[in-house]
Amino acid sequence: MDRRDFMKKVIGGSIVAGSTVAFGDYAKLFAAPGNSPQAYDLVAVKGGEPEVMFDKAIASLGGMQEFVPKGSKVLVKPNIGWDVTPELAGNTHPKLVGRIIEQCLTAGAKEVSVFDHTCEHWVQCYRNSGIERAVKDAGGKIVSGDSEGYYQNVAVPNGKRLTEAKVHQLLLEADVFINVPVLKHHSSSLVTIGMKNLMGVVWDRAYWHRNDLHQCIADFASYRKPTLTVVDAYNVLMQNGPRGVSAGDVVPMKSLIISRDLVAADAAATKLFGAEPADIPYIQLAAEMNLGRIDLNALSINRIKL
Amino acid sequence: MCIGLLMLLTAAGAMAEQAPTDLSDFLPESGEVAGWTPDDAPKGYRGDGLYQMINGGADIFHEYGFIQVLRAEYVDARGKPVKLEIYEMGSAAAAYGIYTFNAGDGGKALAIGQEALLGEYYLNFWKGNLMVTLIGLDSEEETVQGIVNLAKAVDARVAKTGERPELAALLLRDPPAFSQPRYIRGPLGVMNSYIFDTKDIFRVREGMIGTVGDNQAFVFRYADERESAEAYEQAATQLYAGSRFTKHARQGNRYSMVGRDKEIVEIKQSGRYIAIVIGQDHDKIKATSERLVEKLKGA
Repeated sequence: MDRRDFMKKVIGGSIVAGSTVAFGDYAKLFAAPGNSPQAYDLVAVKGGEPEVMFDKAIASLGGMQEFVPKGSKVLVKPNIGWDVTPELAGNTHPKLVGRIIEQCLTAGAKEVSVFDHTCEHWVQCYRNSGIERAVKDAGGKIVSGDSEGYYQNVAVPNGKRLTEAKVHQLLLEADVFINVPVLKHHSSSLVTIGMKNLMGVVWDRAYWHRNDLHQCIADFASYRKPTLTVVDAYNVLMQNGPRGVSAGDVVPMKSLIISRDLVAADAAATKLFGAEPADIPYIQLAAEMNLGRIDLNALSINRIKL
Repeated sequence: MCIGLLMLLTAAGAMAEQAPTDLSDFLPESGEVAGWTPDDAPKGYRGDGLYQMINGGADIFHEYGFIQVLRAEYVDARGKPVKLEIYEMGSAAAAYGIYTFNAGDGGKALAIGQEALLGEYYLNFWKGNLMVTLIGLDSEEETVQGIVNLAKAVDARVAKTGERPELAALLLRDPPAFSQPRYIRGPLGVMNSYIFDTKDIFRVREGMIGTVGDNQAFVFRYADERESAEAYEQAATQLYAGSRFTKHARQGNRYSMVGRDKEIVEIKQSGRYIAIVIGQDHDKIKATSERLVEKLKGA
């Protein structure tokens, strides 16, 4: 049995040592149906297409108008880092990005912009991820993140290691910031979700890697809290991330997590991935910096199964 | 005089080793691979510049010892691209290591370079101190054939070969100790296979990871027995103090515990090595561990 077969078997419930992660909490996150009308801290949806899951999730948080004021400028920040097609799960699913833009515009947003500071050539990443097409079809504006001229130096006053960063001007101009990471394995940080996705609004990332990556990720989360974090876990790259090697590394989880609390969203997504939030130092550090909550038992979670 | 000459030769050798390789010498030219032509100018990155190219994906390359990379792109008549990346690593061992890390587990072995694996749309091979990756956008037949032909063209341009690291040669000597081997050079390599701790509690600088049946096996090698024993002591202390594992048991240089998903972890320190086997069946784990230790004794 190779590691790919192993992953597929494990996702069905049996655990064998030897994987990158184990999946003990996968079922638990979606175990209890929730239908209370209370204000949820986090919504976890399972079993639908990306756009359908988002519709359900945002509706249970009161609708997009709760987050997007009329006439506002919105920045939607997916992961578009890799020149791969959607089925390889290296980037956020284009259907999810498209639906978020549609919902923002319906809520009355004046403008919805999308960009990423990509790892591979931005033109190809934008095109082959399917995100450029999805953004245009939905009425959004796709913007390059490829030139240092777009970035401005800002202070990170609460940072411990990262005290300044060059940030894309779209973030500085946005009234609403929607963070839309894809959940996937990462060779440096074990897993990449919401906080790590914020590296894509920054120009000078090498400094982070040379100066305690995990602390820098947590530090930057203190700079500007996203209005919403929407975690795409429709297809999840379980190993060989961040770019991925094969479709065999991808597990279809058909899940989505949404929260105002970036740390809580990352903690829940980590559980979905099969790891513990404490396994991921930047999540632990962010919680210690009071940037969000890591203890999922203390959260009001709406679990929706479609 | 002999010592002086020796020093001079050694210095000259060191300088020759440090001379930058012109990776563009290894790029197939227009017309060299039928149907595929270079598209745009190749782009190179050295040292920390790799972060600009692949952001966080760079860390693992640096753990192995990265020098430079050249990225080029080729297109065919359909306009379909293939990316070609040639990574120069600090040694043949490092190139072999990042190859085992990057190539993944599956795929078809091909006679390209010193070892090659072809996935659906992805080919990796290593030769000398180079690791070469070719990536297509799809797995259509023309794309995959293009990937293979471009890889062969690069291989033909690289003359220098190198040796697999000694530890890999030992563990993979017939009969191999395990399958799906990964040669690692540090904690990121370990954590990408199994999380013992988020810190480098084993002080790993060199090791091999592989599978034996349903078990996963790790071998870490240290400079000598004293260093190995110290690393074992530190790891045992940290593992016992942490909350990640339960049912800790220690008998001298053998330590066992149970992970969150009921997997059994058995750690054995022997000579300059630490061997770890993880699985579900205690008897199989014990047998695997003993076989590994026996093999290491033959080093």
